[in-house]
Amino acid sequence: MRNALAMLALLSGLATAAPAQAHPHVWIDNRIAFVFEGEAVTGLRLTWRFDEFFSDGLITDFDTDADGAFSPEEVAALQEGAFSALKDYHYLSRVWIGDVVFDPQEVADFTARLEDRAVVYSFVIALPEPADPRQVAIAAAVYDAEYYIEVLLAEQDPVTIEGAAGSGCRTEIQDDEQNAYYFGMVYPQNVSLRCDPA
Amino acid sequence: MRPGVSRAPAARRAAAFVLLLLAALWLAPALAADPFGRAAPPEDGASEQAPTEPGLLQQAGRWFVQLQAQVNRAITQQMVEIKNGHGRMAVLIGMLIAFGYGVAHTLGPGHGKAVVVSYFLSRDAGMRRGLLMGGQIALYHVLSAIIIVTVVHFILEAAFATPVDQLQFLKLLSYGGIAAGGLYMTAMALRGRGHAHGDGHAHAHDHEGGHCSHAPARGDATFLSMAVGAIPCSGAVLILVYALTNGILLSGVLLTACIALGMAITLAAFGVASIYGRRRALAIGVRSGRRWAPALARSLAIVGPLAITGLGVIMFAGAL
Repeated sequence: MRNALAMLALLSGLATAAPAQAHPHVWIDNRIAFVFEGEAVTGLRLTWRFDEFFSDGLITDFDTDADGAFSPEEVAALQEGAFSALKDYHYLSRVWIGDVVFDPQEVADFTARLEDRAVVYSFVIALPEPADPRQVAIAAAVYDAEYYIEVLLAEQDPVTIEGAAGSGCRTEIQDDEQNAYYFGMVYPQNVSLRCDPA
Repeated sequence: MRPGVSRAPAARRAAAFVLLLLAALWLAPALAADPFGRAAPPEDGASEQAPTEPGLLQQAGRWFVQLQAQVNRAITQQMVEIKNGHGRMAVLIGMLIAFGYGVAHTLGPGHGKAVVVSYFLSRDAGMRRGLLMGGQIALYHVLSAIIIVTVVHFILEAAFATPVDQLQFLKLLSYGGIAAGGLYMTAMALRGRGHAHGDGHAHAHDHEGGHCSHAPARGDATFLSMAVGAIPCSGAVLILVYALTNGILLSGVLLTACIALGMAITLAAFGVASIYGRRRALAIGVRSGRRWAPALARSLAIVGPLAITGLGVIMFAGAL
């Protein structure tokens, strides 16, 4: 289990306040889904596809029986050994509900699978309480401010809506220059949900 | 001959060039953005702000950061290729990418460019020393990665919380070392024992002959190189960890060596450019008999070490 654990230890160790580092070293293709229950948004489902190198490290460490797939036990070990450390980084996510900023501390429904030698995580960030997107603007950005990990929205279907009530809504992606990071040279991608007022 | 008339503008330009070089190379990484690379505090409704057209410098910076990200990604992909048994060709391509990584890595934020430039603007040093210091920094930077990986891999197998603290310790050691080295150089310069003591004789000549009573203090360049290089190269750490885990250690070491080579050459170029810039400016001043020449040498002797000290202190404070 050394490889990914070492990478993660280094993630927290090297990244913090080290202006001299030539990042990034890990890449995530990210997808965001706004999850509706009834008329309200209850959470965001994130799907992360990792680059070949980091995936390979995770596979070496966590596909213990080397069958090219993660069993439930292996997923549990991966969650414990590699994913849970991201809690300290609020899962690289920040959510805005109206004027309120929300840095998630908990996630649900974590699962990991293998797609063509790439590790794919999927999990749900629950909003503190369901929010009606017709009343309040909901936005999110997923990025690592230390730029150790480069999180970019996937090229195909980066943002989707889950649930019938969201059919009248649309999503928008914008570069958030106000929160530029890594010497002001990298812009987070801000994803927002717009629904016409009822 | 009226050297003063024809040469003064050129000389002033040369002096201005040196000071600008110093200012740009030192101030740019320190002030262009948050020196600690942290994100701005969250702002609500950022997306509602009117988009502003990024400046040319900003665009160049963003282009460079993206290039760096691509090189980083290429090198990690190549490690997977090597592991999957794509043979010598894969290793050779990997070594080429690693060299490019070393260059890009050095041109990117940080990495002791500011220290090297400040050091060589502050004193007259031989070109050999300029080349050597780049090599020293690169060597220590990569050596530190090798030591860290060895410690993590062989000694701390079970305790992964530990390296975090050790890296924090390394950062403080590095930045504190830079500040201490700068302070020492400042003190020496103030006591008139540094080498640009501005006695008016032509400091633009080559000191490598060793005839001078104030022979270069080699120790401080080595000390600064160790301080700058103490923080391990994150790319080298990843490559080595991966190489160790997958039993391709030799390839990992070869690629790491190429990173060091790319860094060394790039840093050496900065060192040599600083030495050359300083010499040109002072030589023009001395030849044209300008009185600012010794004053410039004196100022550089103080400003350079102060810049190094300031850089060390800022980064130290940021790492606390």
